[in-house]
Amino acid sequence: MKILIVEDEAITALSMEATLQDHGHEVVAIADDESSAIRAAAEHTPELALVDMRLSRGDCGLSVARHLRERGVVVVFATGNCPGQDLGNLALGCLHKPISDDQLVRSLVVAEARARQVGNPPPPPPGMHLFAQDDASHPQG
Amino acid sequence: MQLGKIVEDAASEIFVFSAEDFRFLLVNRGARANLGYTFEELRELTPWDLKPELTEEQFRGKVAPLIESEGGDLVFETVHKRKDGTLYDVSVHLQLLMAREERVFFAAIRDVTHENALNLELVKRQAELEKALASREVLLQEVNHRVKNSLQVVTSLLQLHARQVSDEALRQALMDARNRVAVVATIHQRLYMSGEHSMVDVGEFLSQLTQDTVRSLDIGARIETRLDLEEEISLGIDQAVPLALILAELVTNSLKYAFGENGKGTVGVSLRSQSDSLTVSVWDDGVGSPKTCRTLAWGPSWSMRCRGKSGPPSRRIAGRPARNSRSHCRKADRTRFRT
Repeated sequence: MKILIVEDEAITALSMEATLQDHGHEVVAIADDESSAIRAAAEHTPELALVDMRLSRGDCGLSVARHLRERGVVVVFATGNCPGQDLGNLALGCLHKPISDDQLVRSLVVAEARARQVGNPPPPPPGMHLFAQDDASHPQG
Repeated sequence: MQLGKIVEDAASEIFVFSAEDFRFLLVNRGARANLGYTFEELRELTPWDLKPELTEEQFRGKVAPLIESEGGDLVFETVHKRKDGTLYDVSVHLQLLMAREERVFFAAIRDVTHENALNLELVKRQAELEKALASREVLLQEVNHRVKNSLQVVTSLLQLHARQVSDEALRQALMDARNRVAVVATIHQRLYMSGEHSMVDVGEFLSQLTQDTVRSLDIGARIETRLDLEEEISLGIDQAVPLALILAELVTNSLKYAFGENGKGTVGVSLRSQSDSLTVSVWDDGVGSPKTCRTLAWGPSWSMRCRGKSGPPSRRIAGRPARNSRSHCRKADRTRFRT
């Protein structure tokens, strides 16, 4: 999958990038705030974005998710503070930090299956929860 | 007259006025003193002259129901104006009475300036407290977020290091360290979710920890877990962290080594409370013995007993040499250590 990482903590972003590349994904860009995320999405058309809640320059992951959704990018939050309410219209689900390599890889298997609407997707690994989806909210990326 | 003196000396401000022309017939000392008028001056006034919030029409309207029903009483709050123009809050208790064929109003009035000021202060304090509580919540959320981000950085660093080393044993050691950070994070998460912020429900969290460990090793289909956990036992964070680390080691050890590569089996965890201690047992039915069991007794003395097989994890925690035997839990071999 073509993946955009929206994360302002460089070490975390680097570790995610290495793990994703090891498992055959292409990390198209790492963005640390809203404007760079939107630019990267326009330039690289990622299929999926991992989005942190609190970003550089006080930017918020919710707003980034809204913009990315409009461009048809599947969003999965990766944050220490997963939103309590169901945000199915914004994102597929949320990964609770700290996230291990294995959790990340298995979460992406789940996200990929859901995004491509494969029948019988695997259950989410520990540390991942899925938002309830209405059918219109996730067109194919 | 005795009754007249009681009324004159009463702590309340007492007013009697005619229900026909609303002229004052009696105003006691307390009322005169607070208002600053003599009775001679008051004789020329009416209740609405003292009540700047009410016009004559409004006052008459207010008392009309009493006149219509020829009795009853009425309680209301308003403001009185002193002779010198200053105001004070009053609570009025008004009654219509019959006195020698004449209908009169009897008003007992309390100066509630002090009460109202206290109430206002109370409302202000309440608002301040609510604000402080809200900012405490925000602060906690902020700290929680930062803790988890920091744990993520630690996790990421360990993973990046593990990626760079070629020595498999070293890589495994880094991964083990990462897994232990994950266990600490699990407790932190639970602590924050509970809303309690200092205590965790041991049963709930042992259940989550066991299930997460099974799921993280991706062997859920082969290994069955049997949990027998007493409910509503809480532990402080300082005790929950070491307990969680030990339990995670024991469960991971069972899952990794008790069933071989593709073996099936059961891992069980039980939690029991005694009057002043907790007993946590971890057992499996894998290789080595019909049933391997380890029991931790967790008491207030901060000491812990480990019964049963002393595998590598317990040895490391205990700082004692490992024993090679896997003993049956009923004839438990004992290792003692302190945390």
